[in-house]
Amino acid sequence: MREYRELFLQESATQLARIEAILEERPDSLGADGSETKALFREFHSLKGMAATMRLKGMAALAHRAEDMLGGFSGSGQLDRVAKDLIQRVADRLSAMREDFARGGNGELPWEDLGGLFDSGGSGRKGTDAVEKDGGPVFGLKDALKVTVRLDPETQAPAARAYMVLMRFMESAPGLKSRPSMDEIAAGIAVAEITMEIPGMDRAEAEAIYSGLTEVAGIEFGGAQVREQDIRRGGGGPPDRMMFPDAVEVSTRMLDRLVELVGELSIMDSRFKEIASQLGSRELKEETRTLKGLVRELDDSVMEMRCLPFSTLTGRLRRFVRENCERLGKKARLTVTGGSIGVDKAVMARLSAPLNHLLRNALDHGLEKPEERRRAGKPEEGSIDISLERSKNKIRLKVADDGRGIDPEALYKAAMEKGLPVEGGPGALSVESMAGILFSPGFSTKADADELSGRGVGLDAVAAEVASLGGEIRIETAKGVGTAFEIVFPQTSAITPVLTFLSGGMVLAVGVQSVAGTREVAAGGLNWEGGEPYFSDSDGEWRKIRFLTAMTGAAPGPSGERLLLVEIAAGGKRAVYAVDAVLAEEFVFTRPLTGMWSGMKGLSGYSVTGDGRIIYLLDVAELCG
Amino acid sequence: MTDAARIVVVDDAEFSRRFLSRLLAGEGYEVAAEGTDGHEAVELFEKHRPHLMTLDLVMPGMDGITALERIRDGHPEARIIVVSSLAEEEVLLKALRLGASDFVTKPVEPERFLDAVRKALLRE
Repeated sequence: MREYRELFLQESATQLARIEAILEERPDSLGADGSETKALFREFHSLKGMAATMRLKGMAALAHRAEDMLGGFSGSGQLDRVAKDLIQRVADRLSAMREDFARGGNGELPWEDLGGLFDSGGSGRKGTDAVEKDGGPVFGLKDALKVTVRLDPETQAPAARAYMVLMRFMESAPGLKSRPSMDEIAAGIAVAEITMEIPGMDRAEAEAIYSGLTEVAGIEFGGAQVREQDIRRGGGGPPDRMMFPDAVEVSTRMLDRLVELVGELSIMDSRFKEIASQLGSRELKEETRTLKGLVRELDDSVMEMRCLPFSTLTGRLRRFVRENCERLGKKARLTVTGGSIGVDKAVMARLSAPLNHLLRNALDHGLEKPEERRRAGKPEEGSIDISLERSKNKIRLKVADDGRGIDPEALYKAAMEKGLPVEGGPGALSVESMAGILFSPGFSTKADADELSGRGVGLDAVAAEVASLGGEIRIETAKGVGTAFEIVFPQTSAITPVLTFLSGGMVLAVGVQSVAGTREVAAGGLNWEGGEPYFSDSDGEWRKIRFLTAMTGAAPGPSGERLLLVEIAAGGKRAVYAVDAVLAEEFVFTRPLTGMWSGMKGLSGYSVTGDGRIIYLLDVAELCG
Repeated sequence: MTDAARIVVVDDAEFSRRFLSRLLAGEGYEVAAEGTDGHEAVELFEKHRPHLMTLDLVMPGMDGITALERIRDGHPEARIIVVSSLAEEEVLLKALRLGASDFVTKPVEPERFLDAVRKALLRE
C-alpha cells in the first residue's frame, strides 16, 4: 500500500481542492439544478473509495456520511445553508485527517462530533446510488479508459468476485468510477459484469491487471470485446505481464542527483567552449553551442519535474482563513489565482512561512470586523487575494486585503515610541519608510502579540526569509482601502551562475544577481575609524569594509598593499567585503548544507564542482544584515 | 533454498488438506506444512514464512477470518488464499477487505484453485 501513498495524497488533495472550489463558488446554498450537489457527491464518493483503499477508516466513514447526505439531496438539488456548512466542516475535517496522514500519522482523527449533525442537517433521503443511476454508465471522466470486466457465470460469490476485480483496478487507479459502485457491490447485489472508467490507464495496463484476476470471463474496452482466450492465461508460457503504470514515482533525492548531473554537464560544456576557443576550431565551437542548448533544455525539464502546483501550498489556507475568522469574529473570503503555476518544491517549502505570516497579518491586522466594515460602507465580508504570477525568471506572490490599510500616523507614532529611525513626518510617510518600519526587527503595531499573529515572529522575519531567497518584498497600502504585500523572487534553477572568490583559503561564491560590483583599492587610501577601515566609493562616500574572518579565518584587516573588494546586495541592503582573490563567474549546482555545516551562519549551501572542489555559497541576506 | 514457492495449507478437514496439498505438489510447489485451525495458521505462518497460505474459513477454535486478520496485521505482505465452503458473500467480502489475495469456494475445482495460486504468487 505504501507505493500508493503518494498517489493517494496527491489525488485526495485534488479532490479536497475541488470540493473547496465548489463550496467557495456558492457561499450560501448550492444551485437548484443540482449539478453542484452531484459534483460534490462524486468527489466525496471517490474520496471515500480511495480512503477505504488506503485503509483510512475514519476518512472513509466520514466521506461516506457526506456522500450519503448529498445523495439524499440529489433529487431536489438544492442544498441549504445549514447543510452546506455541514459539508464544509466535513471537508475541513477530511483535510485535517489527510494532513495527519501526510505527516506520517495514521490519519484517524475523531469526527463523531460531526456524525450527530447529519441527522439534523441532512434532511435528504438516505441512499448512495441516486446520482450514479441518473448519470447513466458514462461518468465522463477525462482521459479515462472505459473497461468492462465480465465475471465467470459459474462464480459462486459474484459480489465478492466483483469486489476483488474493482479492488485490483483501484489499486492502480484510485480515481476510477464504476457501475455497479463499490458500495453496491459491498452491499452484496447480484452482479455479472463491472463497467469502469479509469483515468490515466491504458489498455496494456488494464489487460495486465485483468490477467491477474481469477474467475473472470472477458474484458471489453469501450465497444470492442476481447475474449478470455485472447489474453494469456496464467497457465503455460511466460509469466503474466507486470504492471507498468503511466506515471512513476521518483524520489526527490534521485531528482537532485539528476540536477547535479545536469550541473556537471553544464560545467563540462563550459570547458568544451574554452577548449574550442583555445584550439580555434569553429566546428567544435558550433557543436558546443548545440550541446549548451541541449543541456539547458535538460536543465529546464529537470527543474520542471521538481515543480509542484502552487495550489499545493494554498489548498489548506481556506480552512486556515475560516477557522481564524471564527476565532476573530471576522468574515473573509479567500481567492487564489495562479494555483496551477508550477513552483519548485524547495522554493515552495521556503515560501510557506512567509505566506502564512502575510495571511495571518491580513486576517489579524488588515481586515476589520463586520460592524466596522459596514460603517465604512464596505461589504461585511472582507476579501483576501493571493495571487502568483510567473514571468520568464521571476515569481511574484501577492497577498492583498481590502481592509483598513496601514494608518501612517499610527505607524509613525509607534515607530517613534520604539525609537526607530523614521524618514519623513507623520503626515508624509512614504511607502518606503513604512516598509522600513514594518520590516524592522521586532516591530509590531500591537503591543501584545495575540494568539494569531504569534509571538516574536514579525514581518521582519518575512523580509529576512524573502531576502535569503534572493527576493524582495514591497508594500502597497491606502488607509481604508487595503494593503498588499508583494514578494518578487527569482525562479530558481538549481544551477545558478555565481561569482567565486577566495577568502582564508576557502572558495566562496555569491549568486551573480547579488553581486553589485568588484573593485580594488589601495590600503594606503583607507580611512580608519574605530579600528575599522573605510574606503571612498565612486560617489565619494565612505563605506565600511568588512572581513569574512569569523567564517573563513581570513585576516581581519588588509594583508597587502591592495585590497580586493566585492560589493554584495540583498533585500535593498548592501555590504562590501574584502576577499583574497576573485576567481571566476561559473555555473554551479547548489546543495543545501547538511551535517556539521547545517548550523553555519552566513552560508546558504555548497557545491561540489566536476573536479572535486568544494564551493561554499554565502547567505547574502546574512552578509548584508 | 529451493526455487519452488513454499506454501502452507490450513484446513480442518483432512480430506481437503490432502487434496489441496497433492494438487500443489503436483504443480511443483513445496507444501511446507499443514495446519488444522486458526491458531496453527498463525503459528505456521510465523515459523515458515511461506510465499502463500491457503486458509479455510470455517474451522473450530480460531476461525479463518481471525487468523487472516492476525497474520495480515503482522505481515501486510502475506499472500493468503481463502478457501471456503460457504459461498457467503459477506464473509468473503470481509476476507478481501482484510487483505486476502483471492478466494476459492468448495468444492474446490483444481484448475480454478491452481489459477488462483499462480496469480497470487505473481503479485508483488
